Amino acid sequence: MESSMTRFGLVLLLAAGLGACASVPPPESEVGKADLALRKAEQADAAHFAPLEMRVARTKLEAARAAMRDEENLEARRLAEQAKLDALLAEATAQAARRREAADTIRADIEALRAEAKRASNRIPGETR
Amino acid sequence: MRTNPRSSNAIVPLSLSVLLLGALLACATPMPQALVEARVAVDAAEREADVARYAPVELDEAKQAIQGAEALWYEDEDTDEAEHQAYLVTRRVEIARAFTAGAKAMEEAEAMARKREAVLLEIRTEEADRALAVAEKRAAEARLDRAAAEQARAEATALAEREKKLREELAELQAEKTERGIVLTLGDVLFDVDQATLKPGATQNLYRLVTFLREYPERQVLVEGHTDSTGTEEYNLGLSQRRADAVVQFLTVNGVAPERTIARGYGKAYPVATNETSEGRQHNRRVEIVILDPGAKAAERLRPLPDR
Repeated sequence: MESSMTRFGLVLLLAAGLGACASVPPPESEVGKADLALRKAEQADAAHFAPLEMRVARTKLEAARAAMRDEENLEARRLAEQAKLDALLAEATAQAARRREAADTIRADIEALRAEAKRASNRIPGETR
Repeated sequence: MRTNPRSSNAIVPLSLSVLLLGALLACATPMPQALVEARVAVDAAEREADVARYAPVELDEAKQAIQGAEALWYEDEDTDEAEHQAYLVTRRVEIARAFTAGAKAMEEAEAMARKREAVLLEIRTEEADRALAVAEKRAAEARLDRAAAEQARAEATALAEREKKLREELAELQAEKTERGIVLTLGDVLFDVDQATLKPGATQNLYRLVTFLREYPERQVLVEGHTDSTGTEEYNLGLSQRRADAVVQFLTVNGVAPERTIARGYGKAYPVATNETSEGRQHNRRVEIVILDPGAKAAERLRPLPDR
């Protein structure tokens, strides 16, 4: 009776140990999401506007894949999750920078227009350009 | 002091639970610094009006992330996972800030684009106004040119008409244009023999002359008396002078200013025909009225008197 109890406890412990390992499945979904976010960021030309965040994101995604191959699934999930947010940040940064550039370009346009208009109005009326 | 078994019984469980609570608190692992800082970052972003306005979704995601991370920590007290979650929360805050900057930049770009449209419109309006002003100026100049041309044409027409009228009037006066001026000859028949009084028949022609002179006030007039060669020089000069005076008097009475006229008798000095025949002599007995060209002075155009 006592020996059977001990065996049962051992089996339980083993099962728990295995369960701990098995409870972390390969983070396929997280890696996929990180990959998608990275592609989106690349399309937004984030490599130009946010090179640091992009490099970090890429490195982490590669590390996540490597960890998944080594069945270090917990580490792989964390890396993939971080890579995804790094990529999102890179994309948002790039978008903001591009919009900032657009606003500055139009502002410069307006300045140029104003200067040109001023030159034009200073010309003698009727004089050909 | 006697102990009360009832009260002693009640105190034991209470002190036990206090002990237990104390033990729990003492044993609780402190929250990782990264997670504390992540909470601070989320709260700071939430207090910023711009972030709440421009990136509400991203801010909410950050809030949910920190709440989830904190709950997970209290559940598992897994430091590694907490630090990982803190990283994710911090990233979400940064993403919210980047979105805010992007949205503000877009708003500014849109405002700038509208402003550019306004400036363009303003410039085009100014250009149009300038072009219009130039066109109007040119049109005004053209109108002036046309007006000037028209005036010149009108003046030329008026001049031509005046010339024509003058010719007609001269023809009516039976005058002729000579290099001395317009010469109108009043024949001998308009005076009584040896008299200086104008016959009524002479006046019709002289009225036309008065009209003419009134119309051309800038012209001065020489009135010359002439005779044939019969009679003494003295007599002929006197008669020709009187006849010339009679004509001038007529003109003056009829409103021709005396300073415009000079009367002079020349006797037989300037014959226009032979004195051998009676017909020739009749031609020589005459009064010539010389209407000078405009601006010519009568006193400067007198013919010399014959030598005595």
